[in-house]
Amino acid sequence: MASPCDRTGFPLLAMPKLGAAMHLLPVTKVQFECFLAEPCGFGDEWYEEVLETSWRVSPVRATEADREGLFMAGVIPSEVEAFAQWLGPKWRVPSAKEWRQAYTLLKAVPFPPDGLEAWAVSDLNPLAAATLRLLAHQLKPRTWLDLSLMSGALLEWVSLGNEWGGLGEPRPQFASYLIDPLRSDPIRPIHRDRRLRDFGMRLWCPL
Amino acid sequence: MRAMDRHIRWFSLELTTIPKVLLVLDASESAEEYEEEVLGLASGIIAALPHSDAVRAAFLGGTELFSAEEFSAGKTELWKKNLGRCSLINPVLRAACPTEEHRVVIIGTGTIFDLEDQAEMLGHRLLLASVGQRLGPDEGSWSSLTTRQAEEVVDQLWSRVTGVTISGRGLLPICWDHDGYRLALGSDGAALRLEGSAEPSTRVGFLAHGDGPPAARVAYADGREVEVPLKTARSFDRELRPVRLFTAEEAHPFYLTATDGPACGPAVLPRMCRSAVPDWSGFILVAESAEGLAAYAYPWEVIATGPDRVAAYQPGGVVPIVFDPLSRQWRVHPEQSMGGCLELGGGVYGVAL
Repeated sequence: MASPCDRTGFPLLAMPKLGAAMHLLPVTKVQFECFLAEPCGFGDEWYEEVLETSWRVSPVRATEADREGLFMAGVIPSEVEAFAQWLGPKWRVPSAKEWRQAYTLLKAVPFPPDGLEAWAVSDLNPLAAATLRLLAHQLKPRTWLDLSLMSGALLEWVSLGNEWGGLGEPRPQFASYLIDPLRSDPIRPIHRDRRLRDFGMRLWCPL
Repeated sequence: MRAMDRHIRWFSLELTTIPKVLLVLDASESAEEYEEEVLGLASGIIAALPHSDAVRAAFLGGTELFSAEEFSAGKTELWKKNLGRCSLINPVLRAACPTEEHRVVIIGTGTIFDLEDQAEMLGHRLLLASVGQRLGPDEGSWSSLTTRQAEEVVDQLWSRVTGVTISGRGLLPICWDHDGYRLALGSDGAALRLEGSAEPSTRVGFLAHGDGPPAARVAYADGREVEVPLKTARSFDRELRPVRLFTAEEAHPFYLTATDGPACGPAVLPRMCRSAVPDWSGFILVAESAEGLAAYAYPWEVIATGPDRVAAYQPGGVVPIVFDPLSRQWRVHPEQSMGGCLELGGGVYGVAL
């Protein structure tokens, strides 16, 4: 399942069956910060506002109780699009169908004992490595789905034609949603421009 | 001079006192109004560090590294180019890969969002220099201060050496490769002394009547005094600068010719040398050679006149120093006068100007 990293040094999963690659993890704050580090971008004030909605947890400090803070949440669709555009011309939010296909695929692939070694020699961001080690230790994944946190972290933005919705399965102690990511309708926020701490993202790129 | 070489033992003092410094400047939105303060403090730090070639500069959020020279030449342009990057340290450190030798100094104002990610890795090597709001929590392994004074930052980067005294029982420094050191003569013997914050490393040749290695007493700005043993070293190249006295064809105002040899003119040699090098302070060695008289500028304060006797050049006079076998120390010998023209043996004269 291993693939190279994106330009931030965070790992991707190549899914030839789906003709696409996808971020292994929900986009992390460290990852999004690579975009924010560019000059004349969103700026400190914007990020402070986001962090008021979704606190930041360092990958060297995260515990099982607060690991959602690792991931970038509280961003609205236009900001997700700006990040995707910065990541590369083909990057975008997956459709609900694509997201579910990936979910199904990853659920069927066992996570090998040496699953993290695939990135050991690639250009992995050291903080991505720290995040992966931390999550593998906490989650003890049996499938790639377990490690990917498509279930157990945030709702993730997906495109629904002209609309945007959220798919995922947050932990009940983080957010209470009765949602089956494969069957339920994506959650559609009432106010699309409101920052929501439960909404993160995972981006998609055709192979 | 060469005849004395077999009596000289060589040692070196190696002090790596200057850390490598990565200066990280905050040109984020929160620091936009502080351009003058941030750039001023960074420039001040570069100027205050003895070795600016050990400094690299970068901007929060950036991945480009600049030498001190590049930074100083284009700091305003660099500021504009990096304006608006978020207050993030991870990208800089990923590009700079600081080692254990580096101190990382962040200059700016307002929270650095990802400071905690690097706190463990950088530990005490991180210094937050705020020119306005705090850059991070006060608690942490890092040091932090609010200042616009470069000296305050530099004092935290490393404790400056304020003085060095090199000495050893039975040893007399006779030549050294550091202009800042001066021979100091005291009741407890002769020593080599450096004052101020210059880089103290040096190599020294000692006229030796002792086996023990010399040691340096190093005083730091924070009040500490540390004794550092010197290491055995190889001699350095002691090529002397030739001084043109006159040629055989030239008439000379003192009526000396090349064939007269130096021995005939101890009274005349000083005047002759002064005439040749009117601005020189120190010794001139004069010797016979196949071509006539050869003279060389001798750039050290001490000149050996024998294995247990030297002359030390002091402004206003030449001081004799002799080895006292009872105390095993080199001492100034007040009774023995020493003129301005010293016979060094082997047809060589040292003329003190």
